[in-house]
Amino acid sequence: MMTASDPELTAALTAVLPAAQVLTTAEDLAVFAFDGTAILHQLPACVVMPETVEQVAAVLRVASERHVPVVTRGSGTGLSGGSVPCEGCIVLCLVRLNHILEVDTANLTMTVEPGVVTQMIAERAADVGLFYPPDPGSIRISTIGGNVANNSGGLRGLKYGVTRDYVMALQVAMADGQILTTGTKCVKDVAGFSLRDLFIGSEGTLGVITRITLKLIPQPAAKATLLGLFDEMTAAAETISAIIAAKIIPCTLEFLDRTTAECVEGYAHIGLPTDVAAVTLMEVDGHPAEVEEQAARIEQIARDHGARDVRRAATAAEATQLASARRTAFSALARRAPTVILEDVTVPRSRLAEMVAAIQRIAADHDVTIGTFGHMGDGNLHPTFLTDERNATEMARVEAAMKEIFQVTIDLEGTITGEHGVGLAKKPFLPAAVGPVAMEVMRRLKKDFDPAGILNPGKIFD
Amino acid sequence: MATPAVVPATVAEVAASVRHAAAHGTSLALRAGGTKDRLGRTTTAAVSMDLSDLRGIVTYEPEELILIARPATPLAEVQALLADNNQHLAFEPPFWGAAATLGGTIGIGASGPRRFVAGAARDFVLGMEFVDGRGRVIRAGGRVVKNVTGYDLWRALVGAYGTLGVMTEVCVKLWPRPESQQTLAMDARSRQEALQLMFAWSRRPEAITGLSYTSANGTLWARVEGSVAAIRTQTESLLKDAGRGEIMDETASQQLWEQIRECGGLQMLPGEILYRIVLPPSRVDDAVAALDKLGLDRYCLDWGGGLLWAVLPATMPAAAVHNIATDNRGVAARVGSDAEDTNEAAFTPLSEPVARLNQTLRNALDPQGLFSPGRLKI
Ligand SMILES: Cc1cc2nc3c(=O)[nH]c(=O)nc-3n(C[C@H](O)[C@H](O)[C@H](O)COP(=O)(O)OP(=O)(O)OC[C@H]3O[C@@H](n4cnc5c(N)ncnc54)[C@H](O)[C@@H]3O)c2cc1C
Repeated sequence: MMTASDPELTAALTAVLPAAQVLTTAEDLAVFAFDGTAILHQLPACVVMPETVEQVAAVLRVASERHVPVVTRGSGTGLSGGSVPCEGCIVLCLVRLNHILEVDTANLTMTVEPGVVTQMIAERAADVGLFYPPDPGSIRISTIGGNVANNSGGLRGLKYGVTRDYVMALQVAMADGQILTTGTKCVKDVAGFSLRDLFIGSEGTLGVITRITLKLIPQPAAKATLLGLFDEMTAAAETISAIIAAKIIPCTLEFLDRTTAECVEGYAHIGLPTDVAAVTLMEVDGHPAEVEEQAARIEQIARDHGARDVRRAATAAEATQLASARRTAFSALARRAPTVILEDVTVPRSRLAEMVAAIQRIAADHDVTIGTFGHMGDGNLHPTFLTDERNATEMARVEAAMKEIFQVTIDLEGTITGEHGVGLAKKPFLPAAVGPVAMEVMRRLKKDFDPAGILNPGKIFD
Repeated sequence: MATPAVVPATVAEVAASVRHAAAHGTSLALRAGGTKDRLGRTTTAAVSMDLSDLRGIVTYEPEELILIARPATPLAEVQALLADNNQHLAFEPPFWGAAATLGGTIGIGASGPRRFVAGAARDFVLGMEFVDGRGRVIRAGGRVVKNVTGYDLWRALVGAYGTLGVMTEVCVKLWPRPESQQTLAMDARSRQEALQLMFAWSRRPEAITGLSYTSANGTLWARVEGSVAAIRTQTESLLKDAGRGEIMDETASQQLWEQIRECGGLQMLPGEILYRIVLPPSRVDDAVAALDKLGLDRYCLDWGGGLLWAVLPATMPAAAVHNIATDNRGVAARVGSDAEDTNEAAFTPLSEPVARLNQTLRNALDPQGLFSPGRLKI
């Protein structure tokens, strides 16, 4: 049996943590060698599973003293390689730091440890009649710490925003183990600069998030769920624009292309026709009178723009079923191929139809299969390559197609990452996206926050 | 006050002026409409950089729900344009004076009554172009809501009081304007009763977008916004809940909230100082009781209790107020009384490690500390 490459490191870690919380055997380490991103994998030197903030700080002190890199990890569902280990690193896995510390119904906040699974937060809020809106597709498995570190989005982004919008305060362990709090509870306003905003989306490179205070909002009184079926992608895109022009901000505005719809139907049997060009999931929530009014408007708008059919859920169960068309998209596609590469691009809403058409053309030009789905409300699309990493010639075509998709995105005034972070996967594209000055300032800041460069080195930038 | 000297009209001129200032170690006081001078400390900058010429709307795309404008564009101009298209800035920025600009609003991070439901100014800034302390132009963030491109350094400029960089263009997220509004006004028997109702109502699924209380006559106000059909039933249900009060129509309601937006509608008299205290709503009662002992004269609550505007005698040391804010897990800001008031103790002090990271951030963007030194003591 292979052991950790560094017995001295193991000894130093077991001096501050119970031995059972330090994993070093090859089979224990194997599951931490990758995250949700295809192709990337690397074994760490060891994995630690702290159960308290003090243990996190102790691990960081050991790492600092020995100059060993630390890769913080939640559930490892990231899609840009953010929690993929680097050689010789400690994986700091936070899933045991998983307590809901407080639900404060007077101030409408919840304070949690970073390893709490996002779904638990949504459920606990619902238990007391409150609502935690961010709902990444991975909500059942991802951790809130990962969500904050990646500033994850979700299906409700257009109306309710992304994770950042719900973070009131953070407790962070810095590279040297020092613990600090940004903002006080319930107060998003702080004296001084908003450090909180800097840690959100920093992908484990500036500090380890050890406690999070989240904002909760009242549960909307009513919701309506509609599914639109379109023969033309442009008709779907125009419908979305017309809905927003009508001053309606739906809480969900999601989209599946034909390839994805076909896979979803084969997987979830929702009764979707498999010859549609686009399926849209549209939900509105709020006051019952307003919801009723808006749902009727949406249905009319979709029909006016040539929808083949608009289905409206009559019951909560039906709503869940319609929504599952979108919720299952990734799983449905993932079943179809040994390697699934999920991309993440964002374009202005008015360019969505162009973007989808370009993706379809690029897929045909390079002879690759791409299913596209995404968050139409905020222009965030996930072109998903169905391929096989063992097939080198196909991988080369995938690579070329991907490059072209990024170029089109930038030409359409979009960005090459919407919600999945930079990590390793998008690192090569970052300099072109932000420019040399911003790169220089980011590197400088990283160096100041983490002088020894031990926190998730090589992620976001080198 | 610094002497007026530089008046750049383009981003290139801003960058050139900053490079010049950097070469000579000359600090710059960033200023546009000048309506926020009494917020924050007085800067010790040698030269004033007047940004008034950097104005005008660059792009307005109602369908994309975005607006890009130069920083000195008057807030009133932005709001008028948006109103024509039935849109608005949902964070309901206060003006503090007719000359208020969009850039100043973002630089202070100022949000009004709707903030506790709609979000703060910083939540509505999608991206910006700015010049850093070395005179380099950085375009950061984007025009799309979702955008992950490394560290969101630029977000720190929101609420930085002009200390980290010179904004030359800002992109903000827009929202449809609610069709109409009404407000329930009721006499609360006590502060405690008002707070109880505010807590209960801020948990209700109704579209309550304003919850304020004034100590002057003990009135509690609850604003409901939405479609004409929906708001009527909602205000009536609030009225039933409260058992008394009256419903103000759209025009009266609008006027009322424009007043509350500006310092809770409080007018200062000579010898008085205004404090803006942000704290968890559950701590307001304790905070007010403690302030009473310092001679609290009158106050107004906004954001469902999350914001307290308090009027205290000028003789009261600011440190005492900051302590009360800290004890109640909040932060206070002292509002300067006039041009002579340098407002040294404007902000609640930061803890030592946080202060250090603030300095680190400042060093990354403005290593020489050229921009508005002293304005934001960190
Ligand atoms: C099926 C599926 C659907 C998905 N849908 C969405 C979606 O709709 N929207 C979306 O945005 N993403 C989505 N994702 C991506 C992913 O789930 C999110 O990025 C999620 O937030 C990652 O959480 P995690 O706990 O798995 O974090 P990990 O993958 O373990 O880590 C992510 C990053 O955060 C860092 N990190 C983790 N915890 C901490 C901490 N406590 N302190 C500091 N750094 C930390 C890691 O170092 C890494 O860089 C999806 C993924 C899958 C597999």
